[in-house]
Amino acid sequence: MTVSSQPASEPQAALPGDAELRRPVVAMLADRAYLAVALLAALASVGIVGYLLYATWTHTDPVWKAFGVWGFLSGREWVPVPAVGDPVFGALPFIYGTLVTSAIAMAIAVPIAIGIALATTLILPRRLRGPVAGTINLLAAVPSVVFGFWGIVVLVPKARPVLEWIAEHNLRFLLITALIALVAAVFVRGLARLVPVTLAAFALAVVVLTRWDIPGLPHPEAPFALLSGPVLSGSYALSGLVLAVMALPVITAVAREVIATVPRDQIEAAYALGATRWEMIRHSVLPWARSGIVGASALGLGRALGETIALAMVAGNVQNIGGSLLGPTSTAAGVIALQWGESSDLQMAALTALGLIIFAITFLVNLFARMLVRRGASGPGPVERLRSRFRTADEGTAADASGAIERLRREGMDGAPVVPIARRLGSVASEGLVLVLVALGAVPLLLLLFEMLRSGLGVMSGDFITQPQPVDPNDVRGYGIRDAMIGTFVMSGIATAVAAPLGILTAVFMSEARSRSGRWKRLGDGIGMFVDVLLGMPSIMAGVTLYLTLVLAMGHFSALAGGFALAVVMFPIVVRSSDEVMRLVSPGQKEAAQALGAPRWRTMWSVVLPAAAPGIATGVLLAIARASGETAPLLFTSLGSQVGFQGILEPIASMAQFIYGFTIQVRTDQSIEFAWGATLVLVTYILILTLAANLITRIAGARRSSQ
Amino acid sequence: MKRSMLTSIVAGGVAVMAAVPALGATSGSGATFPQLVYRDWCQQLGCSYTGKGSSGGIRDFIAGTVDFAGTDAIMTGDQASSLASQRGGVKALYFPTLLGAISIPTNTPSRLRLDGPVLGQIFSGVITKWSDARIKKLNPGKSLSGDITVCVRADGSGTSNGFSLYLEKVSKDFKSRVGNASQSPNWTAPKLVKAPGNPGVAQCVKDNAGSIGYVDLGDATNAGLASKVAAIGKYQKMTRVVKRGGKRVKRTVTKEVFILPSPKTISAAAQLKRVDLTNPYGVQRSLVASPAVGAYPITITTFILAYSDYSSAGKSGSLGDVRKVLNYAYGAGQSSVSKYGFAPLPAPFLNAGKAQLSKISK
Repeated sequence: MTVSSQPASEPQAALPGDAELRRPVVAMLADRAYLAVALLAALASVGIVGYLLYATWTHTDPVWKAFGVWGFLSGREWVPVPAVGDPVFGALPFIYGTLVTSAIAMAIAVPIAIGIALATTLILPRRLRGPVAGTINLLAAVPSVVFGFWGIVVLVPKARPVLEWIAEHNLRFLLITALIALVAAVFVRGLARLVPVTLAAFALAVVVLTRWDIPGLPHPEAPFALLSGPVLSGSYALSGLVLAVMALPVITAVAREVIATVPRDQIEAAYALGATRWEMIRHSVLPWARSGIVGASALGLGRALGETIALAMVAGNVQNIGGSLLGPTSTAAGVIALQWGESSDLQMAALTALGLIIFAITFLVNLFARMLVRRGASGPGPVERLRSRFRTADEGTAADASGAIERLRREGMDGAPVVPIARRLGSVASEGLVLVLVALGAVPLLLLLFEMLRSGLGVMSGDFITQPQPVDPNDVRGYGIRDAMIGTFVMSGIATAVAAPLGILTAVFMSEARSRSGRWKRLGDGIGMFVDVLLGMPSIMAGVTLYLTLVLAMGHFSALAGGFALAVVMFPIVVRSSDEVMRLVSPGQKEAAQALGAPRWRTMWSVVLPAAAPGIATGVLLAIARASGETAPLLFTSLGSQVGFQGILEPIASMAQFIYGFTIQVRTDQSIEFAWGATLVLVTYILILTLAANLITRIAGARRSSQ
Repeated sequence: MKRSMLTSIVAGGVAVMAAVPALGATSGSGATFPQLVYRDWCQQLGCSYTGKGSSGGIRDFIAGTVDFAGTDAIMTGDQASSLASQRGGVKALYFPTLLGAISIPTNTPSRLRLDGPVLGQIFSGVITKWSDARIKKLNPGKSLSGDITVCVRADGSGTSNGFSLYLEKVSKDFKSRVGNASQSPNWTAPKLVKAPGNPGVAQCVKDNAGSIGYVDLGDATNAGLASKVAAIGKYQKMTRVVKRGGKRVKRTVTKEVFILPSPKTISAAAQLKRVDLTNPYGVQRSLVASPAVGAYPITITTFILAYSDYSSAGKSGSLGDVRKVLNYAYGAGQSSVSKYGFAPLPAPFLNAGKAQLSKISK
């Protein structure tokens, strides 16, 4: 995968079946070297995780000594400075808060993300697909700190009436939500015959629920503790909402990539069998894409579980197990960020232990996700299932493919094939549901985009990108973000230079290991698991570890340490997304290449990587976007600076930290507009990267097809 | 294809790097409370300050990753001894830089009058409703109702330290229920919302009906809460002229007066004639609940930490710059503090600071 390996390839000679005698030796040596490089890169990743685990573990000893493992995990009290007695540290409130807020976020984000991914690949008119998807990709570039202050400034006031309504009518809300979920399930499962019944039941239930005061049943306004007021400015619900908006673009982008790889023949086959578009999606696309969508969701969940800065602003930060979802909560990553700076030694150990617990939670989540993927993969093939479904649903009229084609042919004589009304209705309703999801997802994203453009364009000027940063938040005119921009470019450049090659090589190794057996396969699986753990690591831990190692060893903060911390954040994203797309390259193509006698490296280089390149590029860009917007790892490594660039061994400013400083540490009307301006610049930077990558992909594709 | 992108990024970075000679500006980190002032000073002097919290600054100072630190809190004995062991036996010198007020904004229909004992009861959860008689007594004629939502800092903070230093001094309920002053007091009010940073607390007060919080005056003003900042009561000795038997007699009475934070009432709190900077804790405590006439009761100061010996600390190169910062702080720098809602230091503080400057050895 390095540039130098390309000229070394024997151009066309190795592919066709000539040079039978010479090839095996050369190919074997080349393959050995290729596998060795990939293995080394993969082992480097294991080394990083191993080192991180070790470094964090060594700092947690005092906690286990003071409270015991179980005592710490099940402790409900976290009091660093008690009125009397010793400090007490228990992790349970934060574990609970983290899990519940992430669950709320996933319940909102995953269906919407799948809906948007489907709509922008298959359902919306072709002309709309690109712009909608592009807009959402763009939002993946918005730094998490922006989601945090946007949450406080824009979302909280908008969500408040809704939350207050929920608090007032909580039982009714709960039942309506359950009903909607039920209806959605019926549509998604494709139980066409149940559609009219469900719709009728739904209509009836809505009527009953909205004007119901039936004796014997609980009163619609009966209190329900988990959803009772008062509605506060920091809560589980708001945290879940902000997390959902943050995770949405990430999940959508990956899910789109996955859906785009569904082979054309699967889609054609479904249509040939007489399926409507929705039935095609339901039976060809979704089963094929399932593992990828689970992977995408795991990516989003990883982001949610480890989110620090944004949550600290909307969580309310009070330990509150089992309290109302409209009341405050506290999450593990949030408490690490908030208390690390002011903590005693034992408290710091306890915070580090909390970080380790997040490692463990992510590990379990990923284990679970993998089990789901495996179970999905072992069922009957999509076309097989489609056949059996039509057999039961349509009394055997489409008993098998030939029958369906037969029928199609027959019906084609007198015009369009006749699809039973219930199935047609079900399909239309399902696609309607998807569009509703798209609209739901679009509202907060458009709000954010609008705010960014409105405020951001307002401060944009030549000065904004050429002048040093302001000091007085009430007097920003004539100042800019020059130094912060340079800092972000330098550090994300360092991070990309480290993480992208290592990450892609690791994914290549995982792909190779998967196609082998025994030790290789186990090693590949193990590395995949490690990468998943890294993926869910709270990014603040990357900063902590590099602080404890590089910063302390060098004796001062530096751009280099910041770049390495960002590389730790980027690496697993690059691996996971590259792996997902490589996994989806049609096995037939790989087998064809190998049947032609191509060695492994050649198959990877000429077949797998070109097919996966756009997906890999998207993954790398998402990773750069994520890294460019990271604040937490930089607080401990690059420090920030108000003087210009001084070299990579000195403290350095960054855009994310600048935004953090001008929204969380200091906040005025002017500073918020300035922060939006910085966000706009950051997002534009990502946009330019994306366009460049697209262009390069397209040029590469054109050159390949012309050969 | 990605590679060409990053090659250009890295190449660009290297080009920029080569163009700028390595300067290695003096850098400091720590308290966020005075950060706007310090950044203003640094802009004049070419140094750099990063606000990250007092303890963060102290940690950097001990590790030697900065040249000076900002702190609102005093180093603990453990911190002082690890400083000595890690930085060649040096001590930390405390240089007060400015005076500031912690204001108490409320989300109520109008400005309230509150005092130390009542604040202690609200923040420790003894008083939970606005209709409480003890609040009514201070605010006759105002109709107040509903639960009190208490907004406090989620992160450890010098502002929390200053406020709890005040409550510790004036409220028995705070002392028994919450404990001693600290960067992160264990607030025991039942309806709490914790927010990061002073702007976060100010936002919290704005967002929740019936809430109360504590933030520095500058952030309260920035958040548009200046008109909702409570007047804080304290007992003050006053001379009053009364008529007794047809004669006018001067008598000293003790009366509760309510004072709003402003540069004037903040400066009034600094009543020390002689400031002993070897006892920074004493300096801090002399400011809160100051008995001086017209003094705002919740007044605090903040310090710049410098090494007592820069060459032993392994920082000999930066001593000149740190001296420059401190000289500026006690000179022209004082004139820019009021812009950010702080008050300049009075003469005894300035003199003590300047005298201590000579104690720093290379």
